[in-house]
Amino acid sequence: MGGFRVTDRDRAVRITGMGWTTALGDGLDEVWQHLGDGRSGIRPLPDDGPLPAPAAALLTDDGQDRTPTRRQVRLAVTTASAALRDAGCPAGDVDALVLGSSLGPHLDDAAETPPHALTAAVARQLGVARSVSVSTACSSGADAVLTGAALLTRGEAERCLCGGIDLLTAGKLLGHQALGTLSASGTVRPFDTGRDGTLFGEGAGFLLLETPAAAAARGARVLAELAGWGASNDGTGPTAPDETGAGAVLAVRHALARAGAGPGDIAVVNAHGTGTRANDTAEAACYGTVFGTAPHPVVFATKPALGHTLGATGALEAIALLLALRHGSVPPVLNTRAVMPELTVPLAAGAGRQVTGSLGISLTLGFGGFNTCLVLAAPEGSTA
Amino acid sequence: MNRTQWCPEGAVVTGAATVETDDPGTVRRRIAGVYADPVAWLLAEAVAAALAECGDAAPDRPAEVGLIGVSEHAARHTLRGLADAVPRGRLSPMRFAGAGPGSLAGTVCSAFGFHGPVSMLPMPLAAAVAPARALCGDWLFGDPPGAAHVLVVTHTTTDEGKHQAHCLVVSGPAPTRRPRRT
Repeated sequence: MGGFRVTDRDRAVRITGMGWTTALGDGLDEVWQHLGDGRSGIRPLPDDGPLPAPAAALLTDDGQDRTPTRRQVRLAVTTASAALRDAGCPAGDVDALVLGSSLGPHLDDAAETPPHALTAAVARQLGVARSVSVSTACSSGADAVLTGAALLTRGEAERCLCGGIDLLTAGKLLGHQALGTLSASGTVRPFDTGRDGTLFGEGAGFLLLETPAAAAARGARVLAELAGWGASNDGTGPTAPDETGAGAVLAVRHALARAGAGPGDIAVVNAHGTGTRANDTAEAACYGTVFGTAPHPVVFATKPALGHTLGATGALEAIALLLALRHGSVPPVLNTRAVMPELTVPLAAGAGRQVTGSLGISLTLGFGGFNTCLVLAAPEGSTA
Repeated sequence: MNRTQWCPEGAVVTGAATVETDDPGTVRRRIAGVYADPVAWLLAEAVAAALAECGDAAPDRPAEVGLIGVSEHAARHTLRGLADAVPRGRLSPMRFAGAGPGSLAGTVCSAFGFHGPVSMLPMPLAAAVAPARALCGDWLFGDPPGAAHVLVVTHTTTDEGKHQAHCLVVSGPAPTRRPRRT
């Protein structure tokens, strides 16, 4: 491992800026430091509060007096603006905003408002001319990145600001309570033999994608290359994933093929790792099939710290993967004590690990059978 | 639906169909026991009709079939029902699972067993043309291609309140074919 280089392929996609808002804060280095220190943004919720869950990773914004719709638009604008600042790119130079969200605020607020109205409002406030809405349940943030990459490689745009966002509302939590996905113990334990469900969070993440020519034209700093991407559908049903992992394998293998990489080139995996029985079973099976006897990557997951942020999670995890590649390390996976035997790749349970290599994957799985895999490559010598 | 607009350069449309109804709630469910937003079943009808039109050119390998759903209306019927129920503190789990716009595309994949790349764009049709065409082109002509066929399935409502679903079967340069009948 470690020999992969960011290429000069004409059509490769560059990532030149990023921003996130999480329950652990909104600074890139600040949140990464907190993750490395093993901090969690998940807090117990009051029994008599409006949110029916034992605990959640809520944002510490001043949104208490805002409607869910206003909060969502405001959070998206704030976070997307941070990504643009990180890139040093004016919004007017961005061709399209691609925004992914699962349910947005639509269960609790403005059920009559079409989802795209919110995306268009965000684009308008940012000053970006075109807007695209993507909704593939919990894969939405990753699929927004994939869609932006397609716009770039197919010549439909030169710069796309892509990301995901979801806020917690009573409606979302009631729905997940009814589905039985919430952790009864109040702890997210990805890939643990005793895992009993997930806990939710709020967040937003955005990445600026550019064609190499567009990035070069403005002298942009390249954070990473989006080297490959792939998607698939399990075709199994509305909620449960294909526990054989076959659908996820399709997405990962396609993303690797697109990156011109093999399993042995992958240094790090940002797992979806929800802590639900079905998700972690499917994901473990996927990694076993993909990596087999190849030199194994380090696997990490951030949901015990950030909560499951639904439509935002794919974008947040892409950013976390990029930071792992940049820093040459992954943060600890909190709460996991007894790793399920089906997971045959090393998990950074309880303690952070070093990462040797410059290529990583982020995998997200969503209700409806959506699987999306992004392959990121850090420039050589970028380790902080 | 303007075929040329949605079809990326180099690809061909091998089948197309339009279905229309006054009430998507009357469209038959293709998977017994599964709740899906009525629009999902309408999209499935359009897909079935378009695949039938393909004849021998119909996709034969589910892993090579991708799907892009487009609907500004999306799962609004289910969302509205759930939103009304939130204040009462109880939601139907199946309806909750069917409330996300992505469930429309996921339901069609379940109904037909498609395993290729899938996305859902909950937005107006005119604005969705460029991203849908880009995704379709990316999946058909990427290196390597992610799909041999991509179904572009759209839903809209007419001024008269009718619900229309259109499906284009867009095939790449080397699509797999159903064995020719003799």
